[in-house]
Amino acid sequence: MAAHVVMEAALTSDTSGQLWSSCLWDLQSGTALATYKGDGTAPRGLCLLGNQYLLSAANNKPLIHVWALQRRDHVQQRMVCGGRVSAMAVSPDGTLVVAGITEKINIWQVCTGNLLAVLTRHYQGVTCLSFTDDGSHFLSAGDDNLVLVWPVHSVLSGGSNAVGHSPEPRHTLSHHSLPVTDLYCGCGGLQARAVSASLDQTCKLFEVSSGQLLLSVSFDVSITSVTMDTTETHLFAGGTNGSIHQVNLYAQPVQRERHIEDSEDGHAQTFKGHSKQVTCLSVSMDGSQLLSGSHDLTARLWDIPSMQCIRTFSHKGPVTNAMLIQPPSPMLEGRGKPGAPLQQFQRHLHTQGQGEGMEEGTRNTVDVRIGQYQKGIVSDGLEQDYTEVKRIHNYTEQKEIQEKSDHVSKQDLEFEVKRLKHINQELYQYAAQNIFNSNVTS
Amino acid sequence: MPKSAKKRKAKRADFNKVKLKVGKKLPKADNVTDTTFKSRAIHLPDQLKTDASQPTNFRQQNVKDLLTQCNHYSASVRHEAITGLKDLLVRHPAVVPTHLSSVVEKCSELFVDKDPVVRKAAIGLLRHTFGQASANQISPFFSLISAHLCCAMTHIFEDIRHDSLTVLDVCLEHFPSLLTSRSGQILTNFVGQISSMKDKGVKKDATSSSHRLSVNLNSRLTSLQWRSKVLNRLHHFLKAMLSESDTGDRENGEEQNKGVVEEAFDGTKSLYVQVFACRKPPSSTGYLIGTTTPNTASRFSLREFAESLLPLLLETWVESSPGEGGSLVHADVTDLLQGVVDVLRLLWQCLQHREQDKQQDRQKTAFLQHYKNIHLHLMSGFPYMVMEQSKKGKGQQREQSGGTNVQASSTLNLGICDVMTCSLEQDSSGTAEGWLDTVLDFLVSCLSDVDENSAEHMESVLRVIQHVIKVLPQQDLCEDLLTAVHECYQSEETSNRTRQQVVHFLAESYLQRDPSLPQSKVLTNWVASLPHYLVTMATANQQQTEEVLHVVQSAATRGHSCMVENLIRNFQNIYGVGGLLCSVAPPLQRHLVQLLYHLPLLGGLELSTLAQACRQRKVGAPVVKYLVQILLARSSAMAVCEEEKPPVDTPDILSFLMSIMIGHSVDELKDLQQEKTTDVQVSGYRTQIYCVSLELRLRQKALAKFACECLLQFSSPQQVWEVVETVLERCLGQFHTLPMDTVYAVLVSMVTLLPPGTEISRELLTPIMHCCWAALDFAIHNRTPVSDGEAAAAEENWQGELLHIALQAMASSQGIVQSWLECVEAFVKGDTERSGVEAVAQVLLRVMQTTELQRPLQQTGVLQRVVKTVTACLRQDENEKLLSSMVYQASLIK
Repeated sequence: MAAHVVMEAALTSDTSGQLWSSCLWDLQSGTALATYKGDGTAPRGLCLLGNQYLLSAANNKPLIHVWALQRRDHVQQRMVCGGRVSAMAVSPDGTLVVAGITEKINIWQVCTGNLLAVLTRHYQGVTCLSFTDDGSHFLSAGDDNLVLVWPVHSVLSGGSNAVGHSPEPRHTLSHHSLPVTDLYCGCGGLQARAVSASLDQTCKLFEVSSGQLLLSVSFDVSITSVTMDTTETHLFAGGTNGSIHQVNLYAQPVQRERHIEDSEDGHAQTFKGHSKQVTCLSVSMDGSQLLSGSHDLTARLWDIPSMQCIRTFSHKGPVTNAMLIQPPSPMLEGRGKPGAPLQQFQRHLHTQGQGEGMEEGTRNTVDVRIGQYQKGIVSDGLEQDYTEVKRIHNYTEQKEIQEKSDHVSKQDLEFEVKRLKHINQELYQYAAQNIFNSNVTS
Repeated sequence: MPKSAKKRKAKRADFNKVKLKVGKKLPKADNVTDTTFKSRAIHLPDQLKTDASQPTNFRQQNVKDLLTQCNHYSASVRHEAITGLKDLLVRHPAVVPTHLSSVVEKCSELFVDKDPVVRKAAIGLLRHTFGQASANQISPFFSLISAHLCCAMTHIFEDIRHDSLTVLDVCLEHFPSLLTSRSGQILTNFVGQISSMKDKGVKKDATSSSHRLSVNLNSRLTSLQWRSKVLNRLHHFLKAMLSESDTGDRENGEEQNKGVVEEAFDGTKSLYVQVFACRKPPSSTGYLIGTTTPNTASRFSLREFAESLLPLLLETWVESSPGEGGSLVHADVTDLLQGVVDVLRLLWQCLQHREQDKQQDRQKTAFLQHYKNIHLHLMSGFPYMVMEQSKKGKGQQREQSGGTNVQASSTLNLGICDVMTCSLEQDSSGTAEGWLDTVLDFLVSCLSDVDENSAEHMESVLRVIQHVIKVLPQQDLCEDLLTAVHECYQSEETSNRTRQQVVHFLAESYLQRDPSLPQSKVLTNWVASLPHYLVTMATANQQQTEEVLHVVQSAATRGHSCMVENLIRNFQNIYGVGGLLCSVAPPLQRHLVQLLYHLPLLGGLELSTLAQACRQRKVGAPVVKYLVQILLARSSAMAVCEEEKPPVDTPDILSFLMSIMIGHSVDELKDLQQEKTTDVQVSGYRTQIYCVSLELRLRQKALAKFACECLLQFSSPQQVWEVVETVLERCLGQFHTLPMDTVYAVLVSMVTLLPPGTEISRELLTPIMHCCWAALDFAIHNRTPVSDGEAAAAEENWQGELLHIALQAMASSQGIVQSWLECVEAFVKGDTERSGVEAVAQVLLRVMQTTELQRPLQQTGVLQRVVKTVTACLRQDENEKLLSSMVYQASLIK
C-alpha cells in the first residue's frame, strides 16, 4: 500500500491486455496500485459501477468483463451481449448500464439485469456515451454525426410501453459533419454544458438543457478526444496528430499595459508529446493535471499550468481508456465485498407484461437499490446539495413553463402544484407502507 | 310769424317726391358706397419675427406655436398647424426626439378629428414621425396612440372608423411588434367593426356567436367592400402577430447563432473564448413581463376571439360565395373571399402557435367546433373559378383580367386547401375523407401543369403539400403527393427556378422526415439520383449546391447504399481533375471531401484521382490536409481493432501520401527533364533545381510537412521508411531536374521519417547527397531570381528554411557526409573552373560552421584532406577571408 493517502489515481487500459486489462496508477510515484487481469478493452468501454465493480467491454468480442473491485486477479463474470460494445457508460448512482452495440443503445438495470430499453435512433455505430452528473439524462454520439440527448425517465417509461414505439430523444444535435469521436458532459445535471469532438476538426460546446450550441472551435486537425476541467474554464482537445490543444473558455483579461514579456503568452497552448492520435483525456479534480492516452502506447500525465509532461505510463497496446478517478477503498486495499451480486445482463428486451407477471405472481417486493449512499450515512452537506439541486430544478422548470406559455393562469399553476403535492404524498405513503414496513416485518 | 318762403321751401325739399323717369339714369343715393375699388388679400407666408434660437418651419413658426394651433377651433388652422409641424420635422429631423411626446400626443388626438383633411394630415404626420423614430423611442407613447386608435376604431362616425384603418396600417408598417403586444383590444375592435353585439338574452345555444354581421345601408361603401377592407387589415394584423411570435423564436435562433462563437485554433497563439458573452436582456415587450404586468394582451384570450370571429367569417363567406354547389365566383367578391380564407388560415396558425405548449385538446376545439361548418361552406364549390369582369368592356382589358383571374382563382383554391389541411391533424372521426381526395387531386393537378405556374404560386403549392405530408396519417397518400412532386422535378419543361424550389422541397422533406416512419420510396430514389444531379447542375448556384450536398451527406450517414453507389459511379466527375471539387468554393470543397468518409471502398484508382485533384491549385492546402486526414481515418492507421478490412488499403494510402508529398505528377517531372538548363554540371552535383513560384512552394512545403506527420502515424516506422526509401530512390534516380518544392519535400521526408539508428541504403545515398548539395548550393548562393523587394524577404526566408533542412538532412546520416566529402574532393581535384571551386568552398565552410555537423565531419577522417585540397586550389586567389575562415573552422573540428 502506498504510504501517502491516495486521493486521485489514474485508471487506464489498452487494447492488448497483455500485462493486464486495466491498471490503477499512483499519480505521485507512477507505480501501479492495482491491476485487473484480463483481455484488452475497447475504446470508451471501461466503467466503475457503484464503487463495487469494474466493467470493461472486450475489444473484439461481444462481451463485458466484470471484476469485483477487491479481487483483481481474474475476470469474475462475463456478460454476453448482442454484439461488440463500442461505448459504455454507467449512471452516476450505479443503477443503469448503457452500452452502444453497433447503432443500438442498450440500457440494462443493474439490480435485475433486465434489458429495459433498446434505442435505435442512430443511423450508424454509437461511438460514445455519457451521463449527466445527476443521472437524469445521458448523451450519445455516433458515426452518423449526431449527438442525441436522452432523458432517462422517458426512455425507460417509453421503452416499456410498446415494443414498436421508439422513445424520442430530447434533443438531436446535428452540427457535426463527420463522425463524433468523443463527448464530455460537465457538472450541473440538466444545466450542464457538454462538448463533443469530431473528425471534422471541430469541437462544439452546447447546453444539455436546451440543446443550444454555444461554441464551435475549429482546429487544423481532426479531433479524437475532448474534455474540460471541473470549473469549465479550459477545454482540452486531442487530435489525430498527437497534440493536445488547450482552449481557454474565458476572455483574455483586459490589460492596460502590454510588455514585450507578454509575447511568451503568444505561443500556442498545445501539449506536445504524443506522436499518434490522442484517444482519451481526463482532468483531475483540482484542474491542475491532465491525463491523456494515445495510440503511441503511452498515457501521459501533464501539468496544466506549465504544460509539461510529468509522467508517462507505458502500455503494450494503444491506450483505449484513461481516466482520473477517486479510487474507492476496495480498489486500494483489496478488501471488502460488493454489497450485492451482479445479475447477468439479459439479451432480450424486458417487456412490461413479463415484469408485471413477476411482480404480481412470484414476487411482492420492489427492487430498491440505494447506490451511492448505501451505508445510510447522508451527511448534511449532501442533503443541502440535494435541496439545492432540487431548488434549481424547480426554478428552471418554472422558468421553462413561464417562457413557453405566456397565458398560464395562476389558477392553473396552483392546481398543478396541488396535483404534484398529492402525487408526492401518495408516493411517500406507498413507500412508507410497502417498502419500509415490509422490511421491518420481515 | 310766417317764415320766409325760401326757408320753408328749403325745409320741404328733403321731403319732395323725386320723380323717376323712364330713360333717365337713376341718381345715386347720397349714402351709397363706392364699391369700385379693388381689394387684394395680404398674404403673410411667414411671421416677421425671426427666432433663431429655435428651429422653425417655413413660416417661422416654432413647435410651441404649432402645437397650440393644433387645438384651434378652425379646421383649416388645425390643418395648417399639422402640415406646418410636418414641414418642421422634415426640415429639422434632429428635433424629432425632443418633441416626440408632444407631437405624438397631439397627432393621435387628431385621429378622431371631425375634418377628414385634418385626419389625413395627422396620419401623414404620424407616418413621418414613425419613420424618424425607433421602436424604443415610440414604445412609451404607444399606449397613448393605441388608445386613440381604439377610440377611432369604435367611433360613431363611419368615416373616422374608416380612417382608423389607415392609422392601423401605418402602425403595422412601422412597429408591428408594439401593436401586436396590444392585440387584445384591437382584435376585439376588428370584430366590432364588422358586426354588432347580439342581445344577451338572445344568446342561447353555445354554437351561435355573440355577434352578428352588421349591415349599414346608408354608407357609401357596400358592406361587402367594407368587410373586405377590415378583413384585409385583420389579415395583416394577424400576420404581424404571427411573424412576431415567429421572430421571437427566430430571434432566439439568431441569438443561438450569435451565441455560437466560431473560433479557429490556428496553432500559433493561445485561444481565449468567452462563451457567455454579455447578452442583452429580452426586450420589454416580451411575454415574460407581459404576463406579470396586467395589460390587455395578457387578459385577452385568443381562443375567445377566435370563437367570436369564426361564425362571422363563415357568414361573410356564405353571403358572398356562390350558392350551393356553384363554383363560379364573382370577380367583385374574390377579394373578400380571399380575405376570409387568409384570416382563417392565420387564425389557425396563431392558435396553434399559442397552444403548442398548453393542453391542446381543450383549446383547439374552438376551431374544430366550426370545422364542420367550414368544411361545408368552403368545399361546397371547390375548386372555384373566378369570373371575368364583364363590365370592363374593352377587349384588351378583358384579356388581361382573364389572365389574372386564373391566378386569383388558384390562389383562392390554394388558400382553401391550406385551411382545410390545417384541421387534418385534429381530425379523428374521419370526416376528412369526403373532401380529402378533391383537395389532393387539386394539388396534383397544380403540380402537373407546371408551365402555367409562376414561381410564387409554386412556392405556395409546395408549402401546402409539405404541410399535408406532415399531418396526413395515410402514408400511401403522402407517397402519391411526393410522386407528383418528383414527376414535376423530372419533367423537362420545369423552369430552372421551379426546379430549385422543388429540390428545396424534396430536400426539406427528406431531412425532416420522422425517422420512425417507414422510408419513402420516392424520396429514396430521388436521393439516390442526387450525385448525378450534383454533377450536371450549374455550380454557379452555391446555395443550391450546398443544400444538395447536405442532403447527400446526411443520406450517406444514414447508410443510403444506393446513393453511395451512385456517388462512386460519379467519382471521376466529382473528384477528378476539372470536376466538381476543383470548381467550387472552399466551404463546399470541404463538404465534398467529407463525403469521402462514407464511401465503402477507396481503391488505388480513386486515390490517384484524388492525388491529381489535390495537385490542382484550385484546391487549397487546408482542404487537402482535411482530405488526407479523412482518408487516414478510414485507413488502418487510425483503427483500434483490426476486425474488418478498412476501406483504404495501407499501400494505397502510402503511395497517395507520397504523391501528395512530391507534389508533381510523373509526367510533369518528365517534361522538366526536357528543359535543359544552360549551366549544367557547373558545381559538381548532379541534381538540378528548377525554380517554381513562391506561392506554390509555400503550399507544397506545408503539404510535405503534413504528409510526413501523417506517415509517422503508421504503426511501424521502419516499414514506412522502407516504402519512402524506394519511392525516393525511384524519383531521384529517374529525374535529375527537380522542382524546388520537391527537393524540399525529399529533404523533409528524409529528416522526419528516417528512424533513428537506420542507415540509408547505398542506392539512395548518392542521389540524396547530390540533392542535399544542390539545395545547399542553391540556398547559400541565393540562385533564385528575385523580381521585387517585397518578395525578396519571403524568398530569403524560404532559402533559410531550405538551407536549414538541407543541413539537417546531412546531419541525419553519417554516410551522406562521408560520400559528400569524397565527392567534393573529386570535384575539386578534377579540372574545374575557379568559380566552381569557390562555390564549393563556401558550401563547405557553411557546413563546417554547423554544430550538428561537426562531429560527423570529424568522424569521416577525410575532412582535413579535403580542406587542404580546396585551399590548395584557391591558394592563388586573393580571397583571403574565405581561406582563413576555412582553415580556422577546420582546425576547430580537428
